[in-house]
Amino acid sequence: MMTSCHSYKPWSLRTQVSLKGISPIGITQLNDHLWISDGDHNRMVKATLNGQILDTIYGFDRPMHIASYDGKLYVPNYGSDNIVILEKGLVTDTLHLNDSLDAPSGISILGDEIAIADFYNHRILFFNGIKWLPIGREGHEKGELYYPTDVQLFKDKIYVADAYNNRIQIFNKNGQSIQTIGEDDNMNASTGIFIANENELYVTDFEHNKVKVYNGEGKLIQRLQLSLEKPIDLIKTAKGLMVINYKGKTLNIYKQ
Amino acid sequence: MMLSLMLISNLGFSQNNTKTMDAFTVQVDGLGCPFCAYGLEKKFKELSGMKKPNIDMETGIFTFEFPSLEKLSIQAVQEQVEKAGYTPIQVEITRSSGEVERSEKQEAQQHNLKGEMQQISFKVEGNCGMCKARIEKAANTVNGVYNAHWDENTKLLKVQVTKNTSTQKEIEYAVTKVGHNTENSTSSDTVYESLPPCCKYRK
Repeated sequence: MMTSCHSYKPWSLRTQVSLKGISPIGITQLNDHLWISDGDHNRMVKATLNGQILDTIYGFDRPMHIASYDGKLYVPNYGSDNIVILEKGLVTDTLHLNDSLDAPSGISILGDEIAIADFYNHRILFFNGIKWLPIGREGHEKGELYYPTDVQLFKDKIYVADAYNNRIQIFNKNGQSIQTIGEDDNMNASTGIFIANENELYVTDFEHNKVKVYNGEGKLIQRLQLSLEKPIDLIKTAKGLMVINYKGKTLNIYKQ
Repeated sequence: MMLSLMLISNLGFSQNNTKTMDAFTVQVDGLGCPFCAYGLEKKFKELSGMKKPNIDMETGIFTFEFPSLEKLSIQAVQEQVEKAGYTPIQVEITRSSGEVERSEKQEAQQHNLKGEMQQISFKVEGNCGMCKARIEKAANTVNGVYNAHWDENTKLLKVQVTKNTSTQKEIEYAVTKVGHNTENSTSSDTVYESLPPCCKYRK
């Protein structure tokens, strides 16, 4: 625990589950199950909240950071520049865009809103319910992005894993950058984010094998570093904090 | 009848063994994560005809095959790697004819084996992967320099230099010009201030 915070309970590693040959990239929860994208093997894997594998669906093209919303799974196909929608384990549709993606690496859905991390275009493509807006451009300054890998819509903000600027960047829904977090914490490839609430932000520090937790002011409140091997994405569920390790091919489950 | 069968059989054998694909081995710098590896693969898929792509992220070695008729060049491979956002270190092509082509730096390594190269090392200030890419790129622009390698932990820059070409002073000058102090040379404040926040090494 880095600093005291009266409403935050620190996490500790409870168990590590082998994912049995899966090379996990993205994780989300749908109903009472976890879904994990396996980029190396072009598949989606359904698992229990304890990490037990239940089902596998093949036929994707480098599926990346996935999202779930309203009973559907949204899978960015990094290799073929589209977003596939799954419902009840079946591919039902692809997302229709008026713009072209170049390696979609993450997606978030909130009501009518959609945000897509567009890796090689160094931007977020945001649909506000009426029209698509590009957010960010290539660069290292505030408001600019450098290979974004994950995105999450939360209330009136868009949170971005600005991976190779080694930070989280927060935009409002007009596309203006309002905050950057983690730049001074020696991160190296901030690949996955999860926003539990506006005062509890999680990020994977891929190259340094760490998970960092920040409050809304951008203050580091916990650093997890045991048994992490290239952590790439994470999610907080009722069963705990779930972190997937790309290299370790494992799922770490933390409890408070 | 038997002769015909033998001829057909031999003809088939010959056709199966006629190589139609060139084999490529590319060493790439900066392939740290699956986003990078899949990205590299994606950019090479744009070159229609690529087969059997395989990327080892630990070593940064990317192998694939490409139709011989296309005569994909070392330069085209290097450009495609750069287009994907990474730095090509070495390229080796084994043509279907058996002929082997290597990029300039690999040729330099061959010279090194013959004692035509020397190593120079000195400390360079910096912080991160972006610093590393910038420092190595600057060093590599100096005439006669091959295989510049900067270590983020030790801060040591090691370069292979063809004998009687460039001096340490020239390499240090090239590195300070892009914002990084060295053992004997200091970068200007103006250039230093233009570095991204993560690269600001001065306390």
